[in-house]
Amino acid sequence: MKSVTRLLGMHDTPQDFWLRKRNLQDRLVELIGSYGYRYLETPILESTELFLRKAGGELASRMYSFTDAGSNHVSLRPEFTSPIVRHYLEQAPDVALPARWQYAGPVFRYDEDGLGRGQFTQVGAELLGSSSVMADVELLGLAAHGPSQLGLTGYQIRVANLDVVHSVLDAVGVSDRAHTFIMSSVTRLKEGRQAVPDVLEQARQLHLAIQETPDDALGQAIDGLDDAQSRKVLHGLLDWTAADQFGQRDPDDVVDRLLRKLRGGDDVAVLERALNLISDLAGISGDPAASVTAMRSVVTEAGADMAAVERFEEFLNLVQSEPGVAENLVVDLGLVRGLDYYNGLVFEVTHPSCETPLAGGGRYDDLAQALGSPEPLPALGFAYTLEALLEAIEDSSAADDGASEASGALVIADSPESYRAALQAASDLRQQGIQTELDVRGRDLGEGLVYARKSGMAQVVVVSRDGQRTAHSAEPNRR
Amino acid sequence: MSLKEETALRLVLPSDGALHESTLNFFSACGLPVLRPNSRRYTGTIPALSGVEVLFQRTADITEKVEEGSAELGVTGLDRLMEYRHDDHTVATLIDDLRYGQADFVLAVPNSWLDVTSVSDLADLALEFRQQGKQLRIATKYPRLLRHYLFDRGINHFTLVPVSGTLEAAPAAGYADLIADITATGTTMRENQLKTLEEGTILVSQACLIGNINLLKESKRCLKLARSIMDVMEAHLRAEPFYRITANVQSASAQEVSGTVLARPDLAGLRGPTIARVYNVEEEDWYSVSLLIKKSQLLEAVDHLRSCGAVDIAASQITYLFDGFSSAYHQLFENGES
Repeated sequence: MKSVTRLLGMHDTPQDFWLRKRNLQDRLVELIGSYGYRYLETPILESTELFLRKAGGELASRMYSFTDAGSNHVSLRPEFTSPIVRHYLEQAPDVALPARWQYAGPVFRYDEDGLGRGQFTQVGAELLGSSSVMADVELLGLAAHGPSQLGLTGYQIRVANLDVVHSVLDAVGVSDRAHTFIMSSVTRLKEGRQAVPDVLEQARQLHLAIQETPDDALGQAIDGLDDAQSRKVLHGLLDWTAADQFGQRDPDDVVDRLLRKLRGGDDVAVLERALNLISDLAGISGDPAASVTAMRSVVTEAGADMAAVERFEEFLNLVQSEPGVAENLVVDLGLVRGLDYYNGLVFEVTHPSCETPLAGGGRYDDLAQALGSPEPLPALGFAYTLEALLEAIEDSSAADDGASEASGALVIADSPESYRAALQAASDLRQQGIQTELDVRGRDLGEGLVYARKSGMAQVVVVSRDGQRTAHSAEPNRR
Repeated sequence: MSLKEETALRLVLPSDGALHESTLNFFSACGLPVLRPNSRRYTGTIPALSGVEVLFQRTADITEKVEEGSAELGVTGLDRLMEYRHDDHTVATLIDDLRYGQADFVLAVPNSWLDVTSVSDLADLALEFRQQGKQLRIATKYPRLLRHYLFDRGINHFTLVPVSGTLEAAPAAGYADLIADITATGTTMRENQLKTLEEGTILVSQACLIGNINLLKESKRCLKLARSIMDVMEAHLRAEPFYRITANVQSASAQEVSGTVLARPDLAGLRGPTIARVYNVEEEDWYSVSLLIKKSQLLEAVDHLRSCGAVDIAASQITYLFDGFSSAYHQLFENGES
């Protein structure tokens, strides 16, 4: 029969790796705890809806989702932030704000090519109930404290502030739809203004730009009419087509949205200006002081409020006094994280030896309301990826050259009559703190030595019926 | 010889739906007619290829049958393959377009939704629904492909309504707002007051030949049979767009004929015309010209040959056009191994 194999992207963790991972996890949990974050364990399985409310399409398409035996739509958690906020909302009346929680455990993201990890371990912290710049400083300082305490060097802390980007878009005055579209195009726009024509063309195709001369029949039909007249024409058209399936919509919904679509686009010149400015902004990266100067000039050109830049500048000044931050801090305004729920501060900690970031996080002031909070709840958080941290640590410290010291003992009974004595011998050795295995396959000394060497044990103890114990070293002969 | 040794390769073909008839026709056209001794039996043979056993299964099950190793080869729709295959890619497409069974997997909304003409409209509507506390309900048979497509476009607020019967009726019956379904002509959709969306084509599908690569590699005889099948199919597909034309031209020499024919290189065959002496009792100088021509250029080519003085112009369908080697086979099995 064909054997059943491991799923792609899923990994077994052998003892060595598990010990190092657990050790690292313990150190990080202790570090985060020292900042006053209480440990909270949340379920691995949650309602799918929890993660769909505000997550981006990218994460949504990578969830392990299924229907359980009770017909509930459930998902393995792809991140911890939404469960933590859910917990807060359930406990809200009894929780004093700000609330500080930390967590550690596996998260699951389906990996299409199966080359990366479908399951990995996050250790992170969430700070709920503060919009203060001090909260931003604390979180980023904490995120940077981990790698610096672990002795890592050469990592980069890349920070951006989405409020600066939003303030420019608000000042230029684009519609909500165009705003969302432009935010989703930042990765392309950061390449420079030469990317703008393509993005603008795409906006046109998405009907985001107003058409001076309507090129479709419906637009022409209502050209020159006021809204009330247009509504009449469009309703008449619906009646005339005798189309009567509307699903969960009614004719008014259709006519309203149609009118908005035909009339409500953004002016092309305004869109282009917005794209150019965002392209300039997204291209800003490097030294904090120089970046702030560059930001100021874009924001001035846009005629936008300087408050967001000033707040970001204050943050950049304060955070540099945190340990391990100043020498590793880089501004990168084109930074886009995979989750749609961020606003304000976003950041990533990266290391040249590792493709995936060591840590990432940001502010998500709107998430709680999307999850049903009646009140706004400013909040932010970050998480380390343990596997990435381990990779970076092991890359920079070549100290551990693999082969671990042989230790432990194998106890062999020399005959079935010696079993009782062997049990006693094993028990005595364990009492002395020696990791001891009992032979359960009837091996003799020679076979026992082969097994012990293969399993990394230091000695084989043969026990006779009268309780006599003879120890044999299993260490390989050194030449 | 035991039965087990006789059957070296199992080929699973659709027993139902649009692909059943068209697949059998395709095999016949390739010169590999399938013999099914009894229409109630779910096995058959290909007399032209001994050692091949044909199994008939529901189109929906074919990917799984090849994946689990019940058959080495199969013919199914690309849509079924993409929806059902495991991500470990045990199953590969050996020939991804057999040029029949064309169908598009598309999104369709009620005609009455005058405001929704494109997928970005749908994204916008999904957001509007969410603000109103509603979810778009989409009926489909292919949840995996659809979910992936929608998530890729940032649409993550929808409910999939599983439907096994006629999808087109779901909006009229009231349990879905829109559908994602396979359509060949769009007629059924129009009749059910549905319209497709701009850029709303999720997948362009057609019949394809699939195979279990690991299983095929296990036996030389099996691989050889698979190679024959691929070779013949490719040659047939390659031949399909061409006619062979032969004509007689009276001329002083073969050079003269080739000169006039080659005056239009685009109408002078794949690598130029073959010209051969025709021997006749009158001992006149006649030459036979033979060349392959694209079907779309047939009349143009006939005119051109006439202008070269040709008579007795015959055009015939060719069955195969073999290349130096089977490119599909080469790609799959001969990269880095002999």
